[in-house]
Amino acid sequence: MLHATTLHGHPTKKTPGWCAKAAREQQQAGVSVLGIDDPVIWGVYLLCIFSALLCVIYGIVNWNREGELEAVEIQEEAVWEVEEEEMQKKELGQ
Amino acid sequence: MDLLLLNVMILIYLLATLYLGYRAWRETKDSEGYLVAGRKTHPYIMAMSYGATFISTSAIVGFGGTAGLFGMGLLWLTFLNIFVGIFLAFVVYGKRTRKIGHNLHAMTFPEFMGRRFDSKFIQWFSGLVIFLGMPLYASVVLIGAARFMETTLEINFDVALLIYSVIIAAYVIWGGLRGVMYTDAMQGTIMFVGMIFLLIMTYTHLGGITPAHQALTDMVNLVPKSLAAQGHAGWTAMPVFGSAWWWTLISTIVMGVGIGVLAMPQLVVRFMTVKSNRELNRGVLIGGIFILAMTGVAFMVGALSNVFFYQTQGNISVNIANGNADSIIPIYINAATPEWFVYLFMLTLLAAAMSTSSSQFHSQGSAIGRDIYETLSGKKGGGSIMLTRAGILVAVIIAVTLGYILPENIIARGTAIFFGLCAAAFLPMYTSALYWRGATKAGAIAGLITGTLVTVFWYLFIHKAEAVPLGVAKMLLGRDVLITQMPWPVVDPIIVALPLAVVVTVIVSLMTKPPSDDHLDECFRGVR
Repeated sequence: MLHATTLHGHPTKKTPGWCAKAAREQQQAGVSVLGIDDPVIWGVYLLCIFSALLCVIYGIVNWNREGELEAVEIQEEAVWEVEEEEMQKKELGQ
Repeated sequence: MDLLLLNVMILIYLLATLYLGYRAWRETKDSEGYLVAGRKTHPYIMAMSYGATFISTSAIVGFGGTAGLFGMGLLWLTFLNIFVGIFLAFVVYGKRTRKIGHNLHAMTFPEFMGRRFDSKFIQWFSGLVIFLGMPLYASVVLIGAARFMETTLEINFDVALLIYSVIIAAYVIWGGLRGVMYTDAMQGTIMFVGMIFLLIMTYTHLGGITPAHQALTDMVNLVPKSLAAQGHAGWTAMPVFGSAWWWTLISTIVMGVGIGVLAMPQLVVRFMTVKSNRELNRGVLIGGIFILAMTGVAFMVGALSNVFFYQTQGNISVNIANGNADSIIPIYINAATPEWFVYLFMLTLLAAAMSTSSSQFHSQGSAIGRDIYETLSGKKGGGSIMLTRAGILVAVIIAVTLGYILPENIIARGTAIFFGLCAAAFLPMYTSALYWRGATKAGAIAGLITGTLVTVFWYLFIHKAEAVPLGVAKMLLGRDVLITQMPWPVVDPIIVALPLAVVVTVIVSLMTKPPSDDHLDECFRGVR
């Protein structure tokens, strides 16, 4: 059965009345979406999907953006790569 | 346990890894080739590799299990993982970090900060925070892997931890598979397919999306009294507002980890190695979907495992796992999925944990060798190589030792502590380094020290979950915590330490002399 020590790491205490009452109130009222009554939960369920969609849209819209300075950046990165490799050799012997 | 099937799967997995490693090596033999290969790297490979490093056993086993205990409220963390950990991290932080990091030739996160603010103190102090704080996080990743092995291979946890530690030590000492993005991407792909498979299987088994959720909603009366007493209001409801359960969920798990990801040293470093901003733009697309499939599915499945166990074994998940939330996901996957899938999932999970562990140990080693020793002694080369290697070895030993002594239900909390510490200590300084030319060396130092000290003080004297087992408050003050009045003993340090560190950084910066224009121009060269 459930151990006396929970995720909080401290022993559980007796039920405060307000907790049980508030839990009941929280369960009441409102519509049920996808079998979930609490709007804060079905809301975040949808929010997760929408935020992933935001990432998809952002990625599509900007798929080819910010690549115009490629020649300069390749030059810059070539120098940086060589320096980094030397540093790594020096630091880690790898 | 089907030994033949397990061995065949290990063999196929190793062959695939070796083949991809060989292919990557052939394409990246010299630095020119490395650069071109990097340029040509498909954004899918880049984002999957990032995702496989970002997500470890901690996220799936630890936090998935926590969702089995707390319920779907954990989805707030998924939202932050996607919106903050991918969107803001890539778009708002990643692009500038990449550019300024290149301008400053920084290799590590402390070095980036030290050079941006022209302060040796910032570099060695940040290195010290990482070296002292990261072992806990490294340790819980090991525990997550060992818990999965314990359940799947039916061996003792201590033995599983020992086996895994030996493998990881050999892997790290051998040098790891750094730079081999294909293998990381393969792990990411298997994890992605595996998690989608797991979600479909779970919903199918429970009769569809709405019936599965409804069944979980209807289980509200099965919440143990001890949990209801702390504010647990069911697995499809938020905990009671202001209760101990609510504070732990929101302040420690959601805020701590959701925001802390922005200032994780080993992830920040990855932005500096990204080839161009365009790769970051493309990575946002794939990263967003990947994280939804990882933590979103892990938390949904973790919560829904209660319905599965109740229907098949007549008990809720945490009781099936003997009170240890860390075991919920391993037990569920073993009970609910075909054997071949369990083995595949285990191999992928272990491989993902290895790449995460490896980068953690390297971060700690370089913190000691490069950021602390070199900065304080002013010497480079020989001594610091030895110290870096010694630092890695010490980090492995500390993590394994902690793995044996840490209590149950620790994976999510241990991760949250390190993420929260990083957020409070580094985030104000890191954000102002990227966006505020008026931020000064003194302001950054003041914010760094405030964030670190307030966090440590809070854990030692205020936050009950750590203050009681650590016992410092008891020893010095004669009582468990300094403030007993609710909600303070359950309010996570990040709620206090991060805002304080922000205020201190801003006020001290406004009161002190800004850095020279030359230095700032060098830092922000090419930043649009």
